[in-house]
Amino acid sequence: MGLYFEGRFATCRLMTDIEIVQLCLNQDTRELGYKHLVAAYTKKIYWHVRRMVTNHDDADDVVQNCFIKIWKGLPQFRQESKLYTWIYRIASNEAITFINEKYRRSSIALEGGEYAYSALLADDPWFDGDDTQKQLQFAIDTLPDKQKQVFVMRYFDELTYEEIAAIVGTSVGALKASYHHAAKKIESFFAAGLNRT
Amino acid sequence: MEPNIEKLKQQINPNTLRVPEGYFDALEASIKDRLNTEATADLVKHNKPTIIRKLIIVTAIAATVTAIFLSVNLFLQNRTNNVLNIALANMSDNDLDAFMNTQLAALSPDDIYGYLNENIGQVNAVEILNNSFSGNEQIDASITDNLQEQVLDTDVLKAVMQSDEGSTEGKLLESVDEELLEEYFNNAMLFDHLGL
Repeated sequence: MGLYFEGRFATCRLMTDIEIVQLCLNQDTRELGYKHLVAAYTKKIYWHVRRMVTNHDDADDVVQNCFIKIWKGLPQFRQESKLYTWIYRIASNEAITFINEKYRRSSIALEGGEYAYSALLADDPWFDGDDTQKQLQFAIDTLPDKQKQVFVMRYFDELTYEEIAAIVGTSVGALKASYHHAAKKIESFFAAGLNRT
Repeated sequence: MEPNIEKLKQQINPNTLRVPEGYFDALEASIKDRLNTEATADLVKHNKPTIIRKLIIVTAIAATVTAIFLSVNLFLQNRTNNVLNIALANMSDNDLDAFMNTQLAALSPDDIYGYLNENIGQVNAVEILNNSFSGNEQIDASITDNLQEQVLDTDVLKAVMQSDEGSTEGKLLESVDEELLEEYFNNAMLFDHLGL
């Protein structure tokens, strides 16, 4: 939902997703609807993407690409899914595509392992985490794309399994299994880290 | 003991990942600017044909113009002869004979001579004209008819009968109209020149 100011007294009310969709699907009001859509989902999408790509500049690029695709895809949006489901799907796929292309061009995060990645985060002016958080972020980055996607949506975005299933198109049971495996990998990673210290 | 990942979440500083101040307000403006830029770029891309598209368009136009020119040229070349040739080819022999007799009979010798001289070129038009006539009877027949009428005139005949037999021929010639006689001899000279 997004904030919507109407009338000469500027009363503020929250615009629902249904209202935003109705504005977006009407060619005459599409720009207004898109404006409300951006205002409603910018932060959510940014943090979702940021959790997946870690770096702020990378997240900025991905988010802008995502909203460009949303604008271009609005005429074809058939309301077969909810608005936020559709938006999250676009954002997740854009993030995964970006990660794959980035790591195809550069293997900095892989070569040297955990300590090189930790050094990379240490140079990032927009990351204030301690060693534990650096390790967690590195562990998430080692996950396969789909597992990373599910883990971020469940662990950080706190979406339900049903909502995640609608976004990624996988069954709830498969998602639960995927999340369980991801969590176990990260826990094992920390366990190994503790053993190293 | 392995740390529970859910407990880990409680320990993690929620402000680990930061953003620049005013970033989200600027983000909306950035998205809008980028949309405008892409829309303009798409418009330019669709309006401006690539070099290959230009070449294709020019080639297509040249081929079309050439085809039209050749078609018109070919059509006009055959048109002048086709109409009469087709009409004559579709005629039966009897109709064709009647057509030739009617059309040619209406032409004067001067018309025929002029047509032959203009269209046949190096061929001796005079020779063809001459060969078209079986003899000189056709031309001088009308003249001798006039002479015969005058010769058979009774007054002239009486005058001839009463005169000296030795000069019959001379008196006969004297009785003929001089103008008619002159015309007769002129035509005789003509046939002499033509080799008839």
